[in-house]
Amino acid sequence: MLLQALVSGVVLGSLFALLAVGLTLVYGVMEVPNFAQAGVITLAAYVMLWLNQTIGWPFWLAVAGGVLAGGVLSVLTERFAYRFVRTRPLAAPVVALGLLLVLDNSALELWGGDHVSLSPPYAGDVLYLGPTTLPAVGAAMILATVVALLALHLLLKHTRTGRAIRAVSQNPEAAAILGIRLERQYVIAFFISGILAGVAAFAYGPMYAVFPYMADEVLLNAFVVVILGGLGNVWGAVAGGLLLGILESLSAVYLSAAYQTTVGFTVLLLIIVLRPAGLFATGARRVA
Amino acid sequence: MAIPAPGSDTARPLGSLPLPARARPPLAWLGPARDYLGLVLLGVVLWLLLSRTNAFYSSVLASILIWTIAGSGLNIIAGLGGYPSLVQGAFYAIGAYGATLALMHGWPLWQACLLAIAASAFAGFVIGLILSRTRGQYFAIGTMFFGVVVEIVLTNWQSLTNGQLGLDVPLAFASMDQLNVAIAVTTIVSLMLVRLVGRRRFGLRLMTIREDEDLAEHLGVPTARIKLAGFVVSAIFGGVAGVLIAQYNGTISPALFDYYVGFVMFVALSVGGAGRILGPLLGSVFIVGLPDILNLSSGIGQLVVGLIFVVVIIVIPGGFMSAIDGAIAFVTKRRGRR
Repeated sequence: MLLQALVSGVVLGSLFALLAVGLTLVYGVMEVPNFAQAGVITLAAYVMLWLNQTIGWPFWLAVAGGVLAGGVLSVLTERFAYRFVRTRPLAAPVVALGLLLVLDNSALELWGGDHVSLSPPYAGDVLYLGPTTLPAVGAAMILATVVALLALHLLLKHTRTGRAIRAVSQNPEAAAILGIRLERQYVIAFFISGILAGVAAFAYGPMYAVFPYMADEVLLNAFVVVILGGLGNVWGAVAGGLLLGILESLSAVYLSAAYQTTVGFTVLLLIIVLRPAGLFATGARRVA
Repeated sequence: MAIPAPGSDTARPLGSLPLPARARPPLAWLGPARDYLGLVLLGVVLWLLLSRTNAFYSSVLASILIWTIAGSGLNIIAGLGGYPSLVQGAFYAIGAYGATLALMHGWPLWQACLLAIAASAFAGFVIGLILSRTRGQYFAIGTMFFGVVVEIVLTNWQSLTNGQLGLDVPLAFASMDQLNVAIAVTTIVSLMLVRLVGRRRFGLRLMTIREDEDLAEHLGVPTARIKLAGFVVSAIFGGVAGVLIAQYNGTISPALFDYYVGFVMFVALSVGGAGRILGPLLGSVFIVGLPDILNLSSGIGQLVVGLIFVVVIIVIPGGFMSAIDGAIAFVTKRRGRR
């Protein structure tokens, strides 16, 4: 029972981490709460479905197409909306909600409101790990998260682009003085965040269902994670994601499933009161 | 932004808070009374519209006005104080459920209203205290979560709220006419209160916090206390609006008060003009009224609404009120040149 809850907690936590990393990356460079990320996930999932079932592409090719579509969409939200409100913190939530409405309802208009399922070739398979079971879609979620985050880690730590992104999120003015082109880093950060959203769509779609508002609630949890780890802190988001996933999964088993989200919220509340800069605050960045 | 000394209450265009000096507006000799007279006149017009138009338009206008009341509260913490609160919908819910439960237990209306006010003020106090150390997007996300929690509690606390099914509201007003009068009067009083607060020390201090919180602290503004007070006042407006929506609707359920409502209230304020007296009214006309009248309920309608949010906020940073200012300035300048 406990072990099983832990396993499903890790699966849930991987999803949270994947989303939170995208949110926190964008927050790091641009300081916008990107609620529209949920819409990007939804549309990426629908593109995968459409490529796979209507156009008839093989599953993996369709997934690649959907992930890429997520990246492109995310960049479009930056180019057409967010970049105009970069210096206006009060406007950012409004634009984010507007974009979310546009993206979710585009999905509704294009593909209808029915719950449909994205079924990968391994859909029914189950792995047995000692006394616990792990559905193959859950394993895919963990694997996808690990691969995506490793790739991101390599990018951020070992490439010029990654260094530039980190520089911008530490101090945009200083980065600009040193000749880093801010606009370019914004686009790249949004692209990466969109790619991560696409990967999340691939992992999340088969576990639940694909419908226009599929990602809205998960995204709320991702925001808890982002605060848990500290806004703008990538590894904090990963640790926070796993922590919250396991906590929520345990509370669903031992407390009540109805209040599962409330557990996440209680954690958020404690963090805000006790450590406003996040669990893994380095002190380099003040709570703005 | 120039902030006049307390007491320098010279007349300005209707619906504006202190701004850098500009040309003397018409009727300036009336002094501050001019704005209040204008608001009373607006109230009479709104009441006539509420009671004389057909049932459909009247109900659309009533929801616009009730949102205006909640939005005026938001205007204090978000408009004057610059704190993006996404939790106004929760106070709205607390007011509605508080008053309804009191009425169901046979309390008279005024006591039910007091309870609703007390409950929302208390909730505002607690939330404000918890989020007192956060600013900016942290504050926005934190408040949004309180909206989610209130929605979850309303849905799951079966014995008190009857869950998803909601409650039937005991109607406390003798007739629709009385309710219409109450809505119009409350709306105008809310707008007047924002006008009053905006020129008093309290409002000026909030605006100082909005412009630069650290500097405000250095200047001796007790920022923590002022922010908390602003948040509690906002919550009370939300609670009162909740009492009215419950009475107007006749039934309440968690679906009316999901966390999204608080979000959209903030959007309405921003689109109308944050920190402007008539901002919430204009924003509510646009966000609540327009989709109702054009029957934009789902799918393409929501898509259009979302697009409008984004475009308005990007193109007119100050909301519709600033667009109106711009238009007036343009016209008067042309006239002056001739």
